[in-house]
Amino acid sequence: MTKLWNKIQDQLTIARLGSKDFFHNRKKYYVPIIGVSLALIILIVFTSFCLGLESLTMDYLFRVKGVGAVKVKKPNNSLFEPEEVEQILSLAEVDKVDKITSFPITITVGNKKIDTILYAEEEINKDRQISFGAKDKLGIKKIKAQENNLETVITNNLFSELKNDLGETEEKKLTMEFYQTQGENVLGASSIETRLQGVIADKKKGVIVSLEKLKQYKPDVKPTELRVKPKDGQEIKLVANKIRGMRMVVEDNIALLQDVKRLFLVLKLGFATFALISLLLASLGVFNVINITLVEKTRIIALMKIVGAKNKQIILIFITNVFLIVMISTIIGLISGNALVIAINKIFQTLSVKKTGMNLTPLLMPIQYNLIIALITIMAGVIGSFYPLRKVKNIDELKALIYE
Amino acid sequence: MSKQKTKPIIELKDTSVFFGQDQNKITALANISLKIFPREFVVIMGQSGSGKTTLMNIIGLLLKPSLGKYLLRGEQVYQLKREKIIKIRAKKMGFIFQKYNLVPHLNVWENVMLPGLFTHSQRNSRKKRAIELLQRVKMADQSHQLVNELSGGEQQRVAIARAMMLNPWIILADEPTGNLDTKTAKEVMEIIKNLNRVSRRTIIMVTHNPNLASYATRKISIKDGKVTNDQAME
Repeated sequence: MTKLWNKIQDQLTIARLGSKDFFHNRKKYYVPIIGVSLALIILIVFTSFCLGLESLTMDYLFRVKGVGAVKVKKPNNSLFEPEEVEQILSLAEVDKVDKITSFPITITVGNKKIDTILYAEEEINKDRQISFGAKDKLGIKKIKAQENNLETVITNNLFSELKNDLGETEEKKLTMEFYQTQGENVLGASSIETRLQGVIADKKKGVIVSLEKLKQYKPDVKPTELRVKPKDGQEIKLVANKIRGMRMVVEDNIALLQDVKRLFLVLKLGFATFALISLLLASLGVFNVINITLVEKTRIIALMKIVGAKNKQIILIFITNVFLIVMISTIIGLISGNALVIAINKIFQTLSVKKTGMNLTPLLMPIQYNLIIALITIMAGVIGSFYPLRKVKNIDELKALIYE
Repeated sequence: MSKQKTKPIIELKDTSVFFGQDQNKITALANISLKIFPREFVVIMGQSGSGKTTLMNIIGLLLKPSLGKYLLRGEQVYQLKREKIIKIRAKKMGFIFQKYNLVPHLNVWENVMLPGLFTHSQRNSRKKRAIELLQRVKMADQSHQLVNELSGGEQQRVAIARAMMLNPWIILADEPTGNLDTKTAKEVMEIIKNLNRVSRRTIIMVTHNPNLASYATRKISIKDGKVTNDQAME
């Protein structure tokens, strides 16, 4: 046991000598360190954008198309009673239930009328708590906010609709904004006082306001539709079937969900391939620097062999160097990459949310992703150094003397 | 010392070394036969290209002879497996080079400890031994200094301490004073002489400097791969 402990201590001492070599020759390792770090930064930023895009898409599809959720309506579109909502909750294992109320409304733009639906949702994103708008169904390419006349017409008409329906309006607090989203002309409105933005309006979904807001005007409002989100790991189909058993009209959108998931799987695999190629290039950098180091240190290696070093002990010295290269690169890469993602996120949030309400912001990677990346990088580095380090055993001790 | 009663520590029998093949074949050593006895201080002398370094490489288990026998304490070592040869070399031979061959990014202490570290000798006795050796070569005060910050003479003293680390049977020195000024060379030679006289190590030194022969107990001259003279110096 003491002998084994003695050997372990010796191996650690040899590794420490390797680290001394690394710090002594650190300038030589700057290039591979920068290379691997850059590869990691690119990988993290791209992955974060991919995660952001997935989240945005899923969020959009969940809200607009009900993908990833089970849409429940009563036959004949009658209103849900509170006890029915409770029954659904108790039957199906659900994460949350969105209570959605809808009213048909008409918005007049100039002398043209837009028929749409006013939606109220309980679990809507805070950024759109009081958002409403109408998609430009009339082929109007651009509606300028400066057109006071038009703005007034829309505002008046929209709020008169709301006024009729809700009995009250916050007309004085609201101003209209017009903008384009993803190439589509969209007419929207926002409340400057509350700094809340809005855009959601399309042919099917119409205008969205928060149920909470609606309840201020209609305290006894009852939902026309429920959107049930299954708990993580819960089969949507199972939840949908349970609710169907209650004689409800159920739409689960499983096919679309699977398509979207498949699409993102392809996208993720694409990124993973890209990441692997980046890391492969980075490991080539490590391969190269270790190759050069071995040539430069032929005499030292030969000398170490003369004084009794075994091949694996010499390899341990170089592996320590490789480990330090990849560890330092990984730490720099992960910290810089995630910091960059946070910075981009902040910038994008400032720039895009207020304009569109739909923002593609990169999402910080979960810690396990970071750990996987760190592990792959270290493995890539070690594999990258494996081939040149095999040469250690071919270095002849005589070379220590030949180089004399 | 009676050579007749003592078994040789090294024995070469009709040993030859060839480099290259067929028409390009060069004979580096031709039918060398010699015996080296424990506690001898042998100096191998000869011009450049005479074969003295090749002979030392064979003795130091670095080069397998093309023909003939090499015996270390009666054992034909070159017939053993490579790993075994490496082990024997590490423990039984200590090397001193002209250019010191120290590991530049390590300090004096670490350089001296290297052989003990690689061969997993007892940690405590290793430390004790390193301290003792550094004191002996008068380098104990600079034990934490990087070796590339030392003078040539100091570096060679560290190399001598390293060569002695595992208490080898034989010390092989290849032009140990070749890079040193006369005064420093003399100091280094005194240390090497003490290894032979006080520590009772067998010393085999290769040099072309005739002045150094006076430190030895035996001088072997080589020319064109053949021993031309083998004489006792005492």
